[in-house]
Amino acid sequence: MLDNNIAKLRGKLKISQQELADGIGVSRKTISTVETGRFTPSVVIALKLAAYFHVTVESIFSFEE
Amino acid sequence: MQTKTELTPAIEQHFLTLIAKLSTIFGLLFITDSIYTLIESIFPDSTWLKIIVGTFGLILFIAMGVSLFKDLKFQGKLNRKTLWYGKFTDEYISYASMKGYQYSWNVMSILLPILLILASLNERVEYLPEFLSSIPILEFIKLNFAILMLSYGLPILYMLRREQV
Repeated sequence: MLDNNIAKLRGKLKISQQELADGIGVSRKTISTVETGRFTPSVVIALKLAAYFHVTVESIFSFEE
Repeated sequence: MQTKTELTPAIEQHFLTLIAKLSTIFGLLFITDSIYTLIESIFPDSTWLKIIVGTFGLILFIAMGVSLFKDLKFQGKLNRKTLWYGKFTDEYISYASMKGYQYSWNVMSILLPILLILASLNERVEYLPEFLSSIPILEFIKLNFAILMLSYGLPILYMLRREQV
């Protein structure tokens, strides 16, 4: 299962899902579904998120079997 | 037709939601139409039932007109690939659109072979009830079209539903 820290990282920066969505050029729905684990994003979105938060992809996403 | 290439995820989401609503309204309209025809043939004297179903059909027809009008507003905002081929740049919107196609394909590819088997059985034995075998071809097409439209529109509406942030 793919787990993520997007909500925590957003919380640190005090930004909304919409602001994050606008920041990386996706819909708010994409952010909310990725955040809740209902949608697995592509590598492109993962890299965009990492660049936005200035962290590595591994620190946002973790895979648990 | 001149189309712009600048497309935001919000416009795409709005457009797909509208298409899904339109598809659902079309489906409900065809089902209502079939029910009305059925009532006319089974209960020709029940005026109140016809009025209820007829009013519901009229409301759906108006809703369909409004949705089509809103749909026209998007023509200048969408690029050709999105408008005609349902290609979206946003990942989740594209995923929802694809899921809609998958659901409608799966439903119809299961339903039609079952009906085909029943129909071929019916030629040999009196398998189907008389009511089912006497459905006119026009009503049959309407019902299948309704199922196709609903199985495309409803999953998309569910996936694009509003949520608490």
